[in-house]
Amino acid sequence: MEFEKKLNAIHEKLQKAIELELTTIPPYLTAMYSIKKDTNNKVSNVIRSVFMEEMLHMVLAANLLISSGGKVKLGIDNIPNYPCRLMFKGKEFRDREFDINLGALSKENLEIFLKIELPDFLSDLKLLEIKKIIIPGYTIGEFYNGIKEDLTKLVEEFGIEKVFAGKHENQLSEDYFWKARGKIEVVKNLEDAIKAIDLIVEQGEGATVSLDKFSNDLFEAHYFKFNEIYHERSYAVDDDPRNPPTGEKFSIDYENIYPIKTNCKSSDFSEQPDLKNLNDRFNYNYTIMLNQLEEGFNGNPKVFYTAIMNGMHNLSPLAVAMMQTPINGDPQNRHGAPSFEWQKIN
Amino acid sequence: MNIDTIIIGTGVAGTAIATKLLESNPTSNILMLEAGDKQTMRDFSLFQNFLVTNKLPNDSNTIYDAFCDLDYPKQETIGENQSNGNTQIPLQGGRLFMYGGSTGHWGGWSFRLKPEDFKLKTNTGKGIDWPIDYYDLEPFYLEAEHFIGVSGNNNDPTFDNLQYPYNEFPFTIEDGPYIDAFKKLGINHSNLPIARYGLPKTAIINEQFHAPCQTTGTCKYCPFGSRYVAANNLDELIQKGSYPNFKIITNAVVKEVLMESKNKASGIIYYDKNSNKEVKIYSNKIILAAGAIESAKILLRSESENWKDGIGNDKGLVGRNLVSHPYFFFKATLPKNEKMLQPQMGFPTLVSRHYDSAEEQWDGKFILINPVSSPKVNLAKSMSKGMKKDEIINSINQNVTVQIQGMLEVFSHRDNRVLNSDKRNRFGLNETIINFSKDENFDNRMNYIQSVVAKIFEEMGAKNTTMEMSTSWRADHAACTTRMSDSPNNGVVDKNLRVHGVDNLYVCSNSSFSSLGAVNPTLTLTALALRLGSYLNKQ
Amino acid sequence: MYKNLIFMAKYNIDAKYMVANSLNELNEDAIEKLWKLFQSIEKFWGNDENIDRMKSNFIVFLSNRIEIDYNYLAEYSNAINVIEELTNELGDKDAYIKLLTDPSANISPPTTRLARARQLVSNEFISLYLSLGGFKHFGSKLNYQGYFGGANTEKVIPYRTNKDIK
Repeated sequence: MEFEKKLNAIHEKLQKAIELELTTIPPYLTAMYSIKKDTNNKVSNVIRSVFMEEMLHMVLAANLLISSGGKVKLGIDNIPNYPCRLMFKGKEFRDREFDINLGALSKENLEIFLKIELPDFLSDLKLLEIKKIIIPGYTIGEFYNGIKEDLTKLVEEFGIEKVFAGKHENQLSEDYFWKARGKIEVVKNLEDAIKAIDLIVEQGEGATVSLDKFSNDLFEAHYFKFNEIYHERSYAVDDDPRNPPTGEKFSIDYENIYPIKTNCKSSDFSEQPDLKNLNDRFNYNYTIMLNQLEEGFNGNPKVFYTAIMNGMHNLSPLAVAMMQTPINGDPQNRHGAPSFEWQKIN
Repeated sequence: MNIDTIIIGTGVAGTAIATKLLESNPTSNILMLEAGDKQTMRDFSLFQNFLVTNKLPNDSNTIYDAFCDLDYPKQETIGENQSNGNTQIPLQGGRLFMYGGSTGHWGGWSFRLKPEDFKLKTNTGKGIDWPIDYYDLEPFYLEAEHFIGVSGNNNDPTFDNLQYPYNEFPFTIEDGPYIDAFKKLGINHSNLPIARYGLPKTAIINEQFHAPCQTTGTCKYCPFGSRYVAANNLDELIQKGSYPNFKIITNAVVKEVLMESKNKASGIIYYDKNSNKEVKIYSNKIILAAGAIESAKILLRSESENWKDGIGNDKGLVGRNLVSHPYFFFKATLPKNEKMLQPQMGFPTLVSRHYDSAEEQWDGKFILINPVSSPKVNLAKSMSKGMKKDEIINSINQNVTVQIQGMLEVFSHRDNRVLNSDKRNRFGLNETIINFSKDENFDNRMNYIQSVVAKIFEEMGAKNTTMEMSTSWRADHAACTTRMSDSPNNGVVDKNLRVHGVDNLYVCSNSSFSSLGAVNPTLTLTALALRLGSYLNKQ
Repeated sequence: MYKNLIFMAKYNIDAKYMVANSLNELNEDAIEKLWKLFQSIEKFWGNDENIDRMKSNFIVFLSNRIEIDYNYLAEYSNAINVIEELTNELGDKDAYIKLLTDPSANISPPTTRLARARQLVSNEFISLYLSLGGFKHFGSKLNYQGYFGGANTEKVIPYRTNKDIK
């Protein structure tokens, strides 16, 4: 059926959106954990708030998927391996591709974060190679706006009730507190859906449409916050968003970043029981958290609490313990870091 | 760089003061010292452990890691501290030697004192008046309610101009029979204001945006951090990274305050448990926020040429006039409980301050609570005993125990006091000697309270009102041991909490209350702390 | 002579501290057996409904108990052994009933293996079960200590209020 086909296409995009958000979370977390405790607080606070907002975006995308009758998948096939290739397919045969790594806070990784969050209106970059996650849209913003258009057209054709026929009580709602900018929206109709998508785009890029129509807190958007860290300078109120920030300088103490190995795999630790144990436990907790998030979205919302509190809270001490531990025999004396791999529950 | 301010104690008082000082001057050099250690907060495993064992991480598991006083010495056990007088105030479990202080295990009840409380002497001839009145403190009560995040009813007629940051928790179905009885008897009642973050009214991020209470009922260890705990608050202050000269040292046991002259404090000596060394630190001003018992004891043990009996103690008032709250427990039996009423949450929602009034002040004001454990149904216990489902259901829907609990204001007497013992406890602190004897009128007053409670139970259809267990004197509500006064002749600190006779030493603790009233002290303490912060910022 | 010899069930034997090599990591099989014990709680006190929605939280609980105190690995192993022995003696259904209800398992301190299985394992599972929603079988329809009722919002109050009729 025509409707089914079109709806499925949107569902696929939304599932992709969830996976996209999920892809960004381990790199941001890794960068955040790599900052030694009580140093570079401003930077770790920024990354934490960005990461929380990415979780929020994932939740909103999941709410959108459920609201339109879809199912959320957060299983072993839906989580990325690192290095992870992101490919953005733009219009007129312009594509962007780059690798995302699990690595310590560094200028190189910040450049990658900037590429992920690149706003539509700043896009004039060129790049290279092949696939792992192909995003239909030159930027995240364009991708989500595409979903917005698809939903709007579908509603015009088939009506709100047919499109938003999912179980609303399975969605995450404002009860499930979110320490970040923005409220969780339960999506019941097109207006809610548009609100949710606009929120995602604004928080990431700062503007939904074009440079002429941005909100006062443009510089709160992820791209600009990362740019501040990259340039070690805050934006001044009247800065041009196309240029680097010119406001107050601050310094990042790169000495107080753990020297972790980039893109660790569990095989890196097979001969080292302490790191292996920590990594296994990390992945175990991470997997349970994903399981419970998936379970929560697909009909058992009560497990969200456990997923978020137990999962999230357990992950950081394990990650930090790993990052404090040198890898035996590593030629560059690098330390361990979680591999964010799927771990069979046992 | 000179330390500007030393704050002794990391409870809600110290935290509120530090917050105010840092807001005004982010580079201010402030050192907070905490005798105890840090405890893991908001940990899901510890939460589950509490759920199934009812043990908090800070309950005495071993004598090595306990965060509280031990029980008094008995024949079989060594114990700590000493109690004299005709009434024992159990210190065990009263105060927490911990980063974050006693907010680590408090219930969150957040009451304001009433205007008449500030005029105790004028109204009753007993004790002293506060050197400030309710209206002096009113703006700081409001600030305090926002600081600790109180959920309350803005339409509560008990006070004017209420603007709680979060909506009140509506009365439970279990409150229903009590409310019906109150209405029939003409007894005022209201929503119990409680320090639990609710849903914020705006979605805009705010640095103090916290998880809203999810009514798990395991409040004493809240996995979300929704019940206010100063430890979480302090972590956030540090995490902000905006206060480069703000430092907190734990496992630092303050021995005494040092004076450079009669009216100027110069610093403190503390014992660093980590390095086993004594450390001297100097600063421009010192604030004691170490609780009603320890703050008084620190002054007492800071003896010098200029202050032979301890700082501020020339009139012999430091440590004296100790009051606390007797907490009473009544029960009765409700023959029928068809609605299957049973505890749903971990905190009470209904309070009556009807008898917490000017009319009752002479004889002793008291508040009444429908406590969290009422009606007494414990499913886990019944099931653990192996009771069958039908048996359990029968035990709920008939002959169920209902309870009324509350607190009574008692009055200061000179001889009720705290002192330093020469013995040291596990934390290296001088142990405490408490002298406390209850008033001769106390038992009469309790009889009166029982008659009031019996009428309420009767109206509810419950029979056989009795005292469920003996009245508990709550060490966590100890107060007035360094009370505020206009003149040094009848108090220890002035209306700005400055020790009489010393320019730069302050005591911000329940010890500085001039009287205790009938309600939990924490909100008033927070208001006083915020007020002190404002005052210091203006200096 | 042999007529007077009474066979002492192992679960009545004094529990000695578990020797380390009898401990295994909790494998899938062990988890399933403990899950079955958890399900027996619903069978006995609930409506025998499907409680799979509690399973992931149950597994998290097991892992948290062990994390807090490694001895729980031993206690869980013991509980599994006790259940096996009871099952051989009494059959599948009655084994669990004995574990959940026998008064001899309530002795304090818990010196037999049966008592330890009851007090350290199944009693804790009971508290968990109640907090995950099991309390609803006993009349309190909306909230219970340990249950994540939800935030107090203007639209939905996560507990029975005095305005509720039922």
